[in-house]
Amino acid sequence: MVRIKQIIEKFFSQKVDNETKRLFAEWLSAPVDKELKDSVLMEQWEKECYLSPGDMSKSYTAVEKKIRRSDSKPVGRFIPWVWAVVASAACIAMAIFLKAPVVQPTLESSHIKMLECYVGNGEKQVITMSDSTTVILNSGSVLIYPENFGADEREVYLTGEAIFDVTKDASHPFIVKTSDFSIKVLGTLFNVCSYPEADYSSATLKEGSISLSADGKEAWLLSPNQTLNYSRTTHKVSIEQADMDDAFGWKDGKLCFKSASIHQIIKSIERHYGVRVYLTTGKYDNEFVTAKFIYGESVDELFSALSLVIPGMRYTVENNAVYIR
Amino acid sequence: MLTDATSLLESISRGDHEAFRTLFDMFFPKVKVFLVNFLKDDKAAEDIAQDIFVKIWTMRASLPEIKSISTYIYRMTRNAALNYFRGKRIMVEISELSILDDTDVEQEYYCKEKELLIRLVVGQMPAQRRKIFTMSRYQGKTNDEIAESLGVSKHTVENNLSIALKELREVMLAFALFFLN
Repeated sequence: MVRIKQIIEKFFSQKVDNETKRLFAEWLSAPVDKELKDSVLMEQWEKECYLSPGDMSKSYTAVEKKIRRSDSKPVGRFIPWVWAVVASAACIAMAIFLKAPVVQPTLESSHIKMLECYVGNGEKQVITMSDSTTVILNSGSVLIYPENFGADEREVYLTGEAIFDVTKDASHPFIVKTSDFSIKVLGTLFNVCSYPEADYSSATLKEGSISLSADGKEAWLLSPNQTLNYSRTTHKVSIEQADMDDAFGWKDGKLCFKSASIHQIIKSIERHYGVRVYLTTGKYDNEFVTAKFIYGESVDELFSALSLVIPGMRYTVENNAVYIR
Repeated sequence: MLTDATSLLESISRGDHEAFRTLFDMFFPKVKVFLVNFLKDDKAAEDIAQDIFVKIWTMRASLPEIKSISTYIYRMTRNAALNYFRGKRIMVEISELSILDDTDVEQEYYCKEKELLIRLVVGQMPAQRRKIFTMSRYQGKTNDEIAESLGVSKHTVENNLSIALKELREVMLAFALFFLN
Protein backbone atom coordinates (compact mmCIF):
# COMPACT_ATOMS: atom_id res chain seq x y z
CA MET A 1 0.00 0.00 0.00
CA VAL A 2 2.80 2.37 0.94
CA ARG A 3 4.57 2.05 -2.36
CA ILE A 4 1.35 2.60 -4.30
CA LYS A 5 0.69 5.74 -2.29
CA GLN A 6 4.25 6.91 -2.81
CA ILE A 7 4.13 6.39 -6.55
CA ILE A 8 0.78 8.09 -7.10
CA GLU A 9 1.39 10.98 -4.72
CA LYS A 10 4.84 11.65 -6.12
CA PHE A 11 3.65 11.40 -9.72
CA PHE A 12 0.80 13.84 -9.17
CA SER A 13 2.97 16.41 -7.46
CA GLN A 14 5.92 16.85 -9.84
CA LYS A 15 6.85 17.49 -13.47
CA VAL A 16 7.77 14.26 -15.24
CA ASP A 17 9.39 13.29 -18.50
CA ASN A 18 7.67 11.19 -21.15
CA GLU A 19 9.40 7.98 -20.13
CA THR A 20 8.13 8.34 -16.59
CA LYS A 21 4.64 9.16 -17.91
CA ARG A 22 4.72 5.97 -19.90
CA LEU A 23 5.87 3.84 -16.99
CA PHE A 24 3.20 5.36 -14.77
CA ALA A 25 0.37 4.85 -17.24
CA GLU A 26 1.37 1.26 -17.86
CA TRP A 27 1.75 0.60 -14.15
CA LEU A 28 -1.59 2.13 -13.36
CA SER A 29 -3.52 0.21 -15.96
CA ALA A 30 -1.95 -3.12 -14.96
CA PRO A 31 -4.47 -5.35 -13.16
CA VAL A 32 -2.18 -5.91 -10.13
CA ASP A 33 -3.52 -4.17 -7.00
CA LYS A 34 -6.32 -2.61 -9.02
CA GLU A 35 -8.51 -1.64 -6.08
CA LEU A 36 -5.68 -0.26 -3.98
CA LYS A 37 -4.52 1.90 -6.85
CA ASP A 38 -8.03 3.14 -7.42
CA SER A 39 -8.59 4.08 -3.79
CA VAL A 40 -5.33 6.04 -3.68
CA LEU A 41 -6.28 7.78 -6.91
CA MET A 42 -9.64 8.70 -5.45
CA GLU A 43 -7.82 10.42 -2.59
CA GLN A 44 -6.31 12.68 -5.24
CA TRP A 45 -9.78 13.23 -6.64
CA GLU A 46 -11.22 14.20 -3.25
CA LYS A 47 -8.68 16.97 -2.72
CA GLU A 48 -9.92 20.51 -2.49
CA CYS A 49 -9.77 22.15 -5.93
CA TYR A 50 -10.27 25.69 -6.99
CA LEU A 51 -10.43 27.41 -10.37
CA SER A 52 -10.94 31.14 -10.82
CA PRO A 53 -14.46 32.31 -11.74
CA GLY A 54 -13.05 33.73 -14.97
CA ASP A 55 -11.60 30.39 -16.01
CA MET A 56 -14.78 28.62 -14.95
CA SER A 57 -17.01 30.74 -17.16
CA LYS A 58 -14.61 30.43 -20.09
CA SER A 59 -14.66 26.67 -19.74
CA TYR A 60 -18.43 26.56 -19.33
CA THR A 61 -18.95 28.67 -22.43
CA ALA A 62 -16.75 26.28 -24.37
CA VAL A 63 -18.74 23.32 -23.07
CA GLU A 64 -22.02 24.96 -24.11
CA LYS A 65 -20.59 25.61 -27.56
CA LYS A 66 -19.56 21.99 -27.97
CA ILE A 67 -22.99 20.86 -26.77
CA ARG A 68 -24.74 23.08 -29.29
CA ARG A 69 -22.51 21.78 -32.04
CA SER A 70 -23.28 18.15 -31.25
CA ASP A 71 -26.98 18.94 -31.00
CA SER A 72 -27.14 20.70 -34.37
CA LYS A 73 -29.31 19.60 -37.23
CA PRO A 74 -28.24 16.96 -39.76
CA VAL A 75 -26.89 17.09 -43.30
CA GLY A 76 -29.70 18.78 -45.17
CA ARG A 77 -28.95 22.14 -43.54
CA PHE A 78 -25.30 22.33 -44.41
CA ILE A 79 -25.25 21.96 -48.13
CA PRO A 80 -27.48 24.97 -48.73
CA TRP A 81 -25.32 26.99 -46.34
CA VAL A 82 -22.18 26.12 -48.22
CA TRP A 83 -23.83 26.76 -51.59
CA ALA A 84 -24.99 30.19 -50.45
CA VAL A 85 -21.59 31.26 -49.24
CA VAL A 86 -19.82 29.91 -52.29
CA ALA A 87 -22.24 31.56 -54.70
CA SER A 88 -21.84 34.92 -53.10
CA ALA A 89 -18.07 34.63 -53.16
CA ALA A 90 -17.54 33.87 -56.82
CA CYS A 91 -19.17 31.89 -59.56
CA ILE A 92 -16.03 29.90 -60.19
CA ALA A 93 -16.33 28.33 -56.78
CA MET A 94 -19.53 26.62 -57.89
CA ALA A 95 -17.42 24.52 -60.22
CA ILE A 96 -15.97 22.61 -57.36
CA PHE A 97 -19.35 21.30 -56.27
CA LEU A 98 -20.70 20.75 -59.75
CA LYS A 99 -17.69 18.79 -60.81
CA ALA A 100 -17.01 16.83 -57.68
CA PRO A 101 -20.09 15.02 -56.38
CA VAL A 102 -17.80 13.37 -53.88
CA VAL A 103 -18.23 16.47 -51.69
CA GLN A 104 -21.74 15.65 -50.49
CA PRO A 105 -21.17 12.39 -48.64
CA THR A 106 -18.32 13.92 -46.66
CA LEU A 107 -20.54 16.69 -45.35
CA GLU A 108 -22.57 14.04 -43.58
CA SER A 109 -20.51 14.56 -40.44
CA SER A 110 -23.19 16.98 -39.44
CA HIS A 111 -21.50 18.72 -36.58
CA ILE A 112 -18.45 19.90 -38.49
CA LYS A 113 -18.46 23.58 -39.22
CA MET A 114 -16.93 24.44 -42.58
CA LEU A 115 -15.07 27.67 -43.21
CA GLU A 116 -14.52 29.22 -46.58
CA CYS A 117 -11.70 31.52 -47.58
CA TYR A 118 -12.03 33.48 -50.78
CA VAL A 119 -9.07 35.45 -52.10
CA GLY A 120 -9.75 38.09 -54.72
CA ASN A 121 -7.56 39.07 -57.64
CA GLY A 122 -4.39 40.85 -56.74
CA GLU A 123 -4.38 39.35 -53.25
CA LYS A 124 -2.87 36.47 -51.37
CA GLN A 125 -3.88 35.03 -48.05
CA VAL A 126 -2.27 32.80 -45.45
CA ILE A 127 -4.51 30.45 -43.51
CA THR A 128 -3.57 28.46 -40.42
CA MET A 129 -5.73 25.46 -39.69
CA SER A 130 -6.68 23.79 -36.46
CA ASP A 131 -3.82 21.31 -36.82
CA SER A 132 -1.26 24.07 -37.55
CA THR A 133 -1.15 23.29 -41.26
CA THR A 134 -0.51 26.54 -43.14
CA VAL A 135 -1.91 27.30 -46.55
CA ILE A 136 -0.93 30.23 -48.76
CA LEU A 137 -3.85 30.92 -51.08
CA ASN A 138 -3.13 32.61 -54.37
CA SER A 139 -5.29 35.23 -56.06
CA GLY A 140 -8.63 34.12 -57.36
CA SER A 141 -8.79 31.04 -55.19
CA VAL A 142 -11.23 29.51 -52.76
CA LEU A 143 -10.39 27.09 -49.98
CA ILE A 144 -13.10 25.33 -48.02
CA TYR A 145 -12.01 23.59 -44.83
CA PRO A 146 -13.40 22.48 -41.47
CA GLU A 147 -13.01 24.80 -38.50
CA ASN A 148 -11.75 21.85 -36.51
CA PHE A 149 -10.48 18.64 -37.96
CA GLY A 150 -12.37 15.62 -36.75
CA ALA A 151 -11.36 12.12 -35.86
CA ASP A 152 -10.86 10.87 -39.40
CA GLU A 153 -9.12 12.27 -42.41
CA ARG A 154 -8.41 15.95 -42.75
CA GLU A 155 -10.20 17.05 -45.92
CA VAL A 156 -10.14 20.43 -47.62
CA TYR A 157 -11.49 21.62 -50.98
CA LEU A 158 -9.57 23.88 -53.31
CA THR A 159 -10.38 25.84 -56.43
CA GLY A 160 -7.47 27.87 -57.65
CA GLU A 161 -3.94 27.69 -56.38
CA ALA A 162 -2.33 27.22 -52.99
CA ILE A 163 0.85 26.14 -51.30
CA PHE A 164 0.31 23.68 -48.50
CA ASP A 165 2.63 23.10 -45.58
CA VAL A 166 0.96 20.17 -43.87
CA THR A 167 1.47 19.11 -40.26
CA LYS A 168 2.59 15.53 -40.14
CA ASP A 169 -0.01 13.19 -38.69
CA ALA A 170 0.04 9.74 -40.17
CA SER A 171 -3.11 8.71 -38.36
CA HIS A 172 -5.12 11.51 -39.95
CA PRO A 173 -4.20 11.77 -43.64
CA PHE A 174 -4.55 15.23 -45.13
CA ILE A 175 -6.50 15.28 -48.38
CA VAL A 176 -6.82 18.16 -50.82
CA LYS A 177 -9.77 17.78 -53.17
CA THR A 178 -9.90 19.70 -56.43
CA SER A 179 -12.23 19.28 -59.35
CA ASP A 180 -9.81 16.96 -61.14
CA PHE A 181 -7.99 15.07 -58.50
CA SER A 182 -7.60 14.28 -54.84
CA ILE A 183 -4.22 14.62 -53.23
CA LYS A 184 -3.43 12.53 -50.21
CA VAL A 185 -0.68 14.05 -48.20
CA LEU A 186 1.88 12.26 -46.17
CA GLY A 187 3.27 15.27 -44.26
CA THR A 188 4.74 17.79 -46.52
CA LEU A 189 5.16 20.98 -48.59
CA PHE A 190 3.55 21.24 -52.00
CA ASN A 191 1.73 23.45 -54.47
CA VAL A 192 -1.58 22.74 -56.14
CA CYS A 193 -2.76 24.62 -59.19
CA SER A 194 -6.31 24.02 -60.33
CA TYR A 195 -7.93 27.07 -61.88
CA PRO A 196 -11.28 26.34 -63.51
CA GLU A 197 -10.60 28.15 -66.80
CA ALA A 198 -7.18 26.64 -67.43
CA ASP A 199 -6.54 23.71 -69.76
CA TYR A 200 -4.63 21.85 -67.16
CA SER A 201 -4.16 21.51 -63.43
CA SER A 202 -1.04 20.49 -61.58
CA ALA A 203 0.57 19.66 -58.29
CA THR A 204 4.24 20.18 -57.42
CA LEU A 205 6.03 18.68 -54.48
CA LYS A 206 8.82 20.36 -52.57
CA GLU A 207 9.25 18.14 -49.48
CA GLY A 208 7.76 14.94 -48.18
CA SER A 209 5.54 12.80 -50.37
CA ILE A 210 2.03 12.95 -51.77
CA SER A 211 -0.17 10.56 -53.68
CA LEU A 212 -2.72 11.71 -56.21
CA SER A 213 -5.78 10.01 -57.59
CA ALA A 214 -7.96 11.29 -60.39
CA ASP A 215 -11.34 10.04 -61.56
CA GLY A 216 -11.29 7.68 -58.63
CA LYS A 217 -8.69 5.43 -60.14
CA GLU A 218 -4.93 5.02 -60.00
CA ALA A 219 -2.59 6.65 -57.68
CA TRP A 220 0.46 8.61 -58.67
CA LEU A 221 3.12 8.99 -56.06
CA LEU A 222 5.18 12.16 -56.26
CA SER A 223 8.70 12.61 -55.00
CA PRO A 224 10.18 15.99 -54.14
CA ASN A 225 10.93 18.22 -57.14
CA GLN A 226 8.36 16.57 -59.33
CA THR A 227 5.30 18.10 -60.94
CA LEU A 228 2.25 16.20 -61.99
CA ASN A 229 0.35 17.80 -64.87
CA TYR A 230 -3.19 16.82 -65.72
CA SER A 231 -4.53 17.96 -69.06
CA ARG A 232 -8.24 18.65 -69.06
CA THR A 233 -8.36 18.39 -72.82
CA THR A 234 -6.66 15.04 -73.24
CA HIS A 235 -7.24 13.73 -69.70
CA LYS A 236 -3.64 12.64 -69.71
CA VAL A 237 -1.34 12.78 -66.77
CA SER A 238 2.36 13.49 -67.01
CA ILE A 239 5.00 13.70 -64.35
CA GLU A 240 8.06 15.81 -64.94
CA GLN A 241 10.94 17.53 -63.26
CA ALA A 242 9.59 20.55 -61.43
CA ASP A 243 10.47 24.13 -62.09
CA MET A 244 10.31 25.41 -58.53
CA ASP A 245 10.09 29.04 -59.56
CA ASP A 246 7.20 28.21 -61.78
CA ALA A 247 5.29 26.36 -59.08
CA PHE A 248 6.15 28.20 -55.88
CA GLY A 249 7.36 31.54 -57.16
CA TRP A 250 3.97 33.21 -56.97
CA LYS A 251 4.15 33.46 -53.21
CA ASP A 252 7.14 35.78 -53.58
CA GLY A 253 5.38 37.73 -56.28
CA LYS A 254 6.97 35.91 -59.19
CA LEU A 255 5.09 35.25 -62.38
CA CYS A 256 6.08 32.41 -64.65
CA PHE A 257 4.85 31.53 -68.10
CA LYS A 258 5.78 28.38 -69.94
CA SER A 259 4.54 28.30 -73.53
CA ALA A 260 1.54 30.20 -72.33
CA SER A 261 -1.05 31.54 -74.72
CA ILE A 262 -2.08 35.18 -74.61
CA HIS A 263 -5.32 34.19 -72.91
CA GLN A 264 -3.56 32.29 -70.15
CA ILE A 265 -1.18 35.19 -69.69
CA ILE A 266 -4.04 37.65 -69.42
CA LYS A 267 -5.82 35.48 -66.88
CA SER A 268 -2.67 35.23 -64.76
CA ILE A 269 -2.02 38.93 -64.94
CA GLU A 270 -5.57 39.80 -63.97
CA ARG A 271 -5.33 37.50 -60.98
CA HIS A 272 -1.87 38.51 -59.92
CA TYR A 273 -2.25 42.28 -60.17
CA GLY A 274 -6.00 42.64 -59.76
CA VAL A 275 -6.30 44.64 -62.99
CA ARG A 276 -8.66 44.15 -65.90
CA VAL A 277 -7.14 43.33 -69.27
CA TYR A 278 -9.08 43.93 -72.46
CA LEU A 279 -8.12 42.11 -75.62
CA THR A 280 -10.24 42.77 -78.67
CA THR A 281 -8.29 41.01 -81.38
CA GLY A 282 -7.49 37.40 -82.16
CA LYS A 283 -4.14 38.42 -83.71
CA TYR A 284 -2.05 36.92 -80.93
CA ASP A 285 -3.90 33.67 -80.44
CA ASN A 286 -1.08 31.65 -81.90
CA GLU A 287 1.69 33.24 -79.92
CA PHE A 288 3.12 31.27 -77.02
CA VAL A 289 5.30 32.91 -74.44
CA THR A 290 7.86 31.53 -72.05
CA ALA A 291 9.01 34.12 -69.54
CA LYS A 292 9.70 34.64 -65.86
CA PHE A 293 9.04 37.81 -63.98
CA ILE A 294 10.78 37.51 -60.66
CA TYR A 295 11.63 41.03 -59.62
CA GLY A 296 8.14 42.16 -58.70
CA GLU A 297 7.73 43.96 -61.99
CA SER A 298 4.88 46.41 -62.34
CA VAL A 299 2.09 45.92 -64.87
CA ASP A 300 3.73 48.42 -67.17
CA GLU A 301 7.15 46.78 -67.00
CA LEU A 302 5.56 43.41 -67.59
CA PHE A 303 3.67 44.50 -70.69
CA SER A 304 6.68 46.34 -71.92
CA ALA A 305 8.62 43.10 -71.79
CA LEU A 306 5.77 41.15 -73.39
CA SER A 307 5.56 43.55 -76.29
CA LEU A 308 9.20 42.76 -77.03
CA VAL A 309 8.40 39.09 -77.18
CA ILE A 310 5.09 39.30 -79.02
CA PRO A 311 5.76 41.07 -82.29
CA GLY A 312 3.49 44.01 -83.02
CA MET A 313 1.68 43.96 -79.69
CA ARG A 314 0.66 47.39 -78.43
CA TYR A 315 -1.03 48.29 -75.22
CA THR A 316 -2.22 51.18 -73.10
CA VAL A 317 -2.59 51.27 -69.35
CA GLU A 318 -5.40 53.39 -67.97
CA ASN A 319 -6.31 53.43 -64.29
CA ASN A 320 -6.70 49.82 -63.35
CA ALA A 321 -7.15 48.51 -66.86
CA VAL A 322 -4.92 47.45 -69.73
CA TYR A 323 -6.03 47.57 -73.34
CA ILE A 324 -4.20 45.39 -75.83
CA ARG A 325 -4.33 46.14 -79.53
CA MET B 1 -26.89 16.36 0.48
CA LEU B 2 -28.12 13.08 -0.93
CA THR B 3 -31.55 14.51 -1.64
CA ASP B 4 -29.97 17.55 -3.22
CA ALA B 5 -27.85 15.42 -5.51
CA THR B 6 -30.81 13.30 -6.56
CA SER B 7 -33.04 16.24 -7.41
CA LEU B 8 -30.17 17.93 -9.22
CA LEU B 9 -29.67 14.89 -11.44
CA GLU B 10 -33.41 14.66 -12.02
CA SER B 11 -33.50 18.27 -13.17
CA ILE B 12 -30.56 17.80 -15.52
CA SER B 13 -32.12 14.69 -17.02
CA ARG B 14 -35.13 16.82 -17.86
CA GLY B 15 -32.90 19.29 -19.71
CA ASP B 16 -32.48 21.94 -17.03
CA HIS B 17 -29.41 24.01 -18.01
CA GLU B 18 -29.28 25.79 -14.65
CA ALA B 19 -28.97 22.47 -12.85
CA PHE B 20 -26.28 21.39 -15.31
CA ARG B 21 -24.38 24.57 -14.57
CA THR B 22 -24.55 23.74 -10.87
CA LEU B 23 -23.14 20.27 -11.48
CA PHE B 24 -20.46 21.83 -13.65
CA ASP B 25 -19.49 24.29 -10.92
CA MET B 26 -19.26 21.47 -8.42
CA PHE B 27 -17.17 19.04 -10.41
CA PHE B 28 -15.34 20.77 -13.22
CA PRO B 29 -12.51 21.96 -10.94
CA LYS B 30 -11.98 18.44 -9.66
CA VAL B 31 -11.93 17.01 -13.17
CA LYS B 32 -9.64 19.68 -14.57
CA VAL B 33 -7.15 19.65 -11.69
CA PHE B 34 -7.05 15.86 -11.62
CA LEU B 35 -6.33 15.77 -15.34
CA VAL B 36 -3.71 18.50 -15.19
CA ASN B 37 -1.82 16.64 -12.47
CA PHE B 38 -2.20 13.35 -14.31
CA LEU B 39 -1.46 14.38 -17.90
CA LYS B 40 0.90 17.28 -17.17
CA ASP B 41 -0.65 19.09 -20.16
CA ASP B 42 -2.99 21.98 -19.51
CA LYS B 43 -4.48 22.19 -23.00
CA ALA B 44 -5.19 18.46 -23.18
CA ALA B 45 -6.61 18.54 -19.67
CA GLU B 46 -8.92 21.43 -20.56
CA ASP B 47 -10.12 19.75 -23.77
CA ILE B 48 -10.75 16.41 -22.11
CA ALA B 49 -12.44 17.99 -19.08
CA GLN B 50 -14.81 19.87 -21.38
CA ASP B 51 -15.53 16.73 -23.39
CA ILE B 52 -16.41 14.86 -20.21
CA PHE B 53 -19.10 17.38 -19.39
CA VAL B 54 -20.42 17.39 -22.94
CA LYS B 55 -20.72 13.63 -22.55
CA ILE B 56 -22.53 14.01 -19.23
CA TRP B 57 -25.05 16.31 -20.88
CA THR B 58 -25.44 13.99 -23.85
CA MET B 59 -26.34 11.07 -21.62
CA ARG B 60 -28.31 13.13 -19.12
CA ALA B 61 -31.30 10.82 -19.45
CA SER B 62 -29.48 8.11 -17.50
CA LEU B 63 -28.17 10.40 -14.75
CA PRO B 64 -30.89 9.77 -12.15
CA GLU B 65 -29.89 6.08 -12.07
CA ILE B 66 -26.42 6.89 -10.77
CA LYS B 67 -25.85 6.16 -7.08
CA SER B 68 -22.77 8.27 -6.48
CA ILE B 69 -22.25 11.00 -9.03
CA SER B 70 -18.83 11.87 -7.64
CA THR B 71 -17.52 8.34 -8.11
CA TYR B 72 -19.12 8.21 -11.53
CA ILE B 73 -17.46 11.38 -12.77
CA TYR B 74 -14.18 10.27 -11.17
CA ARG B 75 -14.28 7.06 -13.22
CA MET B 76 -15.04 8.96 -16.43
CA THR B 77 -12.07 11.18 -15.70
CA ARG B 78 -9.69 8.36 -14.82
CA ASN B 79 -10.64 6.42 -17.94
CA ALA B 80 -10.34 9.49 -20.15
CA ALA B 81 -6.83 10.06 -18.80
CA LEU B 82 -5.75 6.48 -19.50
CA ASN B 83 -7.31 6.62 -22.96
CA TYR B 84 -5.35 9.76 -23.65
CA PHE B 85 -2.12 7.94 -22.96
CA ARG B 86 -3.23 5.00 -25.05
CA GLY B 87 -4.28 7.26 -27.89
CA LYS B 88 -1.00 9.10 -27.80
CA ARG B 89 0.78 5.78 -27.84
CA ILE B 90 2.60 6.85 -24.75
CA MET B 91 2.00 3.47 -23.27
CA VAL B 92 1.42 -0.11 -24.19
CA GLU B 93 -0.88 -2.27 -22.08
CA ILE B 94 1.02 -4.68 -19.89
CA SER B 95 -1.08 -7.47 -21.34
CA GLU B 96 0.23 -6.60 -24.79
CA LEU B 97 3.78 -6.77 -23.60
CA SER B 98 4.54 -10.45 -23.49
CA ILE B 99 3.32 -13.96 -23.65
CA LEU B 100 5.57 -15.06 -20.83
CA ASP B 101 4.18 -17.18 -18.06
CA ASP B 102 2.66 -15.69 -14.94
CA THR B 103 5.75 -15.50 -12.76
CA ASP B 104 7.75 -13.75 -15.45
CA VAL B 105 5.03 -11.21 -16.04
CA GLU B 106 4.79 -10.58 -12.34
CA GLN B 107 8.52 -10.07 -12.00
CA GLU B 108 8.57 -7.75 -14.97
CA TYR B 109 5.76 -5.80 -13.41
CA TYR B 110 7.54 -5.32 -10.10
CA CYS B 111 10.74 -4.43 -11.86
CA LYS B 112 8.93 -1.67 -13.69
CA GLU B 113 7.29 -0.55 -10.50
CA LYS B 114 10.65 -0.22 -8.83
CA GLU B 115 12.05 1.72 -11.78
CA LEU B 116 9.05 4.02 -11.72
CA LEU B 117 9.48 4.75 -8.05
CA ILE B 118 13.19 5.45 -8.45
CA ARG B 119 12.47 7.87 -11.28
CA LEU B 120 9.88 9.65 -9.20
CA VAL B 121 12.16 10.00 -6.21
CA VAL B 122 14.98 11.28 -8.41
CA GLY B 123 12.53 13.64 -10.09
CA GLN B 124 11.80 15.26 -6.76
CA MET B 125 15.44 15.91 -5.90
CA PRO B 126 16.82 19.43 -6.20
CA ALA B 127 18.18 20.12 -9.68
CA GLN B 128 21.86 19.75 -8.98
CA ARG B 129 21.57 16.57 -6.97
CA ARG B 130 19.35 15.09 -9.64
CA LYS B 131 21.88 15.97 -12.30
CA ILE B 132 24.74 14.49 -10.34
CA PHE B 133 22.86 11.28 -9.60
CA THR B 134 21.72 10.89 -13.20
CA MET B 135 25.22 11.41 -14.55
CA SER B 136 26.58 8.89 -12.06
CA ARG B 137 24.02 6.12 -12.27
CA TYR B 138 22.42 6.51 -15.69
CA GLN B 139 25.36 7.84 -17.66
CA GLY B 140 28.05 5.93 -15.79
CA LYS B 141 30.31 8.96 -15.33
CA THR B 142 32.99 8.96 -12.62
CA ASN B 143 32.87 11.42 -9.74
CA ASP B 144 35.83 13.26 -11.25
CA GLU B 145 34.13 13.58 -14.62
CA ILE B 146 30.96 14.86 -13.01
CA ALA B 147 32.84 17.39 -10.87
CA GLU B 148 34.65 18.72 -13.90
CA SER B 149 31.67 18.87 -16.19
CA LEU B 150 29.49 20.69 -13.63
CA GLY B 151 32.24 22.91 -12.31
CA VAL B 152 31.93 21.78 -8.69
CA SER B 153 34.27 20.11 -6.22
CA LYS B 154 34.58 16.36 -6.03
CA HIS B 155 33.48 16.66 -2.44
CA THR B 156 30.19 18.23 -3.52
CA VAL B 157 29.61 15.37 -5.92
CA GLU B 158 30.29 12.73 -3.28
CA ASN B 159 28.06 14.50 -0.77
CA ASN B 160 25.16 14.73 -3.15
CA LEU B 161 25.46 11.13 -4.22
CA SER B 162 25.46 10.01 -0.62
CA ILE B 163 22.31 12.01 0.17
CA ALA B 164 20.62 10.76 -2.98
CA LEU B 165 21.36 7.16 -2.13
CA LYS B 166 20.10 7.65 1.39
CA GLU B 167 16.81 9.04 0.10
CA LEU B 168 16.43 6.14 -2.27
CA ARG B 169 17.26 3.58 0.37
CA GLU B 170 14.55 4.92 2.67
CA VAL B 171 11.97 4.71 -0.05
CA MET B 172 13.10 1.34 -1.28
CA LEU B 173 12.99 -0.09 2.23
CA ALA B 174 9.22 -0.02 2.20
CA PHE B 175 9.38 -1.61 -1.18
CA ALA B 176 11.76 -4.35 -0.13
CA LEU B 177 9.70 -5.18 2.93
CA PHE B 178 6.78 -5.86 0.68
CA PHE B 179 8.95 -8.00 -1.52
CA LEU B 180 10.23 -10.09 1.29
CA ASN B 181 6.69 -10.91 2.28
